[in-house]
Amino acid sequence: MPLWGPLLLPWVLGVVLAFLDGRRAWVAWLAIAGLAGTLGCMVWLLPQSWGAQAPQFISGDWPVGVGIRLRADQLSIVFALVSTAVLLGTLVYEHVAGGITSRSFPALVVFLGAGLTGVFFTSDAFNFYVFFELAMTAAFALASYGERPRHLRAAFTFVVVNLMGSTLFLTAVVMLYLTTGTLDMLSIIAWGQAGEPYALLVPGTLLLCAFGVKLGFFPFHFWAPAVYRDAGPTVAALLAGALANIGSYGLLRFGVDVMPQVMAQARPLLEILGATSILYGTVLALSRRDTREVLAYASISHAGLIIAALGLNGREGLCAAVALALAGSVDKTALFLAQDRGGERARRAYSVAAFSTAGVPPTAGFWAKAWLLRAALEQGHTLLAGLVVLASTLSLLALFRAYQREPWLREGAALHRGTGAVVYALSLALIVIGLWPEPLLRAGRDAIQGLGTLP
Amino acid sequence: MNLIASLAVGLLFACGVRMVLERELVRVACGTVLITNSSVLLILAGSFPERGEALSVEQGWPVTDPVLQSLALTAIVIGFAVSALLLTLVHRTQRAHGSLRTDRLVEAELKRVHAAEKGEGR
Amino acid sequence: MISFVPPLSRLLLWPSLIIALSLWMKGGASVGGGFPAGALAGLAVLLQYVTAGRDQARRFVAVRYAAPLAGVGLLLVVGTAFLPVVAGYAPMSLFPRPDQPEIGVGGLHLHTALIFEGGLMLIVFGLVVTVIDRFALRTGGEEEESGP
Repeated sequence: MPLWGPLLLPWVLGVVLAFLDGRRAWVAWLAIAGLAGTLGCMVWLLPQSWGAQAPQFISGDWPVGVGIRLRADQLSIVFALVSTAVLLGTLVYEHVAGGITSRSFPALVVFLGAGLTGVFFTSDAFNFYVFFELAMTAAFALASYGERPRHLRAAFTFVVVNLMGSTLFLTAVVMLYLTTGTLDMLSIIAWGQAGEPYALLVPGTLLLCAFGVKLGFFPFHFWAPAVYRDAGPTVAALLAGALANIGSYGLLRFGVDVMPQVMAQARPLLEILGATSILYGTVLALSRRDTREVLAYASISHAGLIIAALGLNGREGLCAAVALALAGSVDKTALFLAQDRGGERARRAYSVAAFSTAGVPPTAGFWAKAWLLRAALEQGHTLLAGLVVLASTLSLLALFRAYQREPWLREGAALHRGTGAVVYALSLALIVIGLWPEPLLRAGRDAIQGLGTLP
Repeated sequence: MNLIASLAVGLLFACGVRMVLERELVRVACGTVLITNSSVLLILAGSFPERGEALSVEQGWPVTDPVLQSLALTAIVIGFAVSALLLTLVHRTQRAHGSLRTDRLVEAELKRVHAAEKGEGR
Repeated sequence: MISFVPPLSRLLLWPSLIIALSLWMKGGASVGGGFPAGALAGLAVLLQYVTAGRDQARRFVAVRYAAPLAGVGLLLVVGTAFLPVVAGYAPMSLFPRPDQPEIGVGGLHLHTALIFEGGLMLIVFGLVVTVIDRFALRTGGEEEESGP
């Protein structure tokens, strides 16, 4: 499978869907089939990414620097796979849960997928921005899905805050270009190895802020609770499950891969930010009454875990960050989808996803957290390890307090077979990974191995 | 030239941030537009030191960096699309609430929360 | 006093559209390109909306079908970007290839980038006009809108 397959498919599909009325069942199934096809292409691409040479092409066969390089190394492909799977699950859920109520919903989800795959596969800083904005624009339009006043309010907050983040990102990319004279990431890496380490400090800081807004860790988290509470459950699942991946992927790609020198200087800061946001997220999650807000604060605390893992020295921490991001993406989606419904099935799915978020075995989240703990203890960060254990306990408490309070224990529209299947599939994936963690751990390890410039 | 450009970028950005903090949603939208445009000006300012023809065919003429120009163009396109979307949102919010002031929206929100809590207490 | 603006704006419409087209055509070799062309054409239509009103502006077919036009533009862009793949080239390849002889007369060169730029022009034009039309619609009556 050539690399352009998963890039082309969502584009063509999105354009076709834009002409069609997304409320019809067959249009929704077309979108679902297309996303499933994209996912299939990526699975096909998977062994090639693990080969000696990552699949890549340069647009228009121009020399590097003129043409844009697109490349699928292990980090790209695992993030693309998980994000597309989350998008697919959410789209299926929304369709079988009672029909899509907006004409453009399937097209927007597919465009979001096109943007995300582009972001993950591109190896050009400015092209990253273009795809990033494509994904963001689709997400902006999706945020108002549902048309109720509170959805609109959520969308407005989301757009304004994230537009600021995008502007910061654009500024950082331009600064990178003006400093290094190239936009190709591999060339920037080469420049950084030769050049002085402090030159990229300012763009690096801006990038941290920009991806911080996307990921929603402590000082940049302020939009998350309001948006996750007010947006529809499907949209919240899309934003928390798929779109937040841009933040963690961006930090890994730009921080670890492109600017390792800046990353080395930012480590203490990252650890402080991570610890603060773990604490802040968990404490506030305990104090909230609304389930969605509890989930929002739990995701802030989870973002803190990723940041703290990035802040740890050496490869182990980074591997933990990848595993945390991937597992977190799936369990956020399952949580947001399950809490929308009532009945026995929803409760089971919610419990599994909550166990995974808190890091209780046998779930995927447990292994990611265990890895983080091991890395922290190996490097003598006992305080951080203690904080992670404490936060896990507290977030388990918070998630199950919400579970007890939630009226869906008593009544509410139950998950029927279709929606139940989606949520079950997500929870089952979490349990299977929990029982057989080798793929997750290997994905994390190899993804980091693929970033060549590490010591 | 660089000084003037950076001052202009700073001024635009500052005005934008000031307007985003306003209560009126239209002003917030205008503020984000200003911020977007400040970054476009920043991109263009990057190509100011080396003045030359845009895409000169003749030999010997100084040529400005075309990459920055195309970056600016792309940024403008994206900024335009997003501002259009934002204004649409403002309009829809206005139709849904009958107001464009954030404090009113917050009041409505508080009312909703109180109603929900009452419903839960019963 | 009779304003001179409406007749003047009507006079300006066709010249601006022709300039937009010329901007598109010469985009490959000198100043111009699909985006400025689309933006200029959109601005020309905006002038019609402002001076003559929505009904007058919607006399033109291109204005009524602006949104599908943007979709066609997107198809053109995606098509030019990915069709070379079928022939075994990298995506976004330019035809004729840089080492092949150019086709064209004088300053005018024909190549596939022109189609790409044309698609871009249609997208920008369609987007601008759709947005303007939505806003013009709203100042008039309350009407239910559908998504973009």
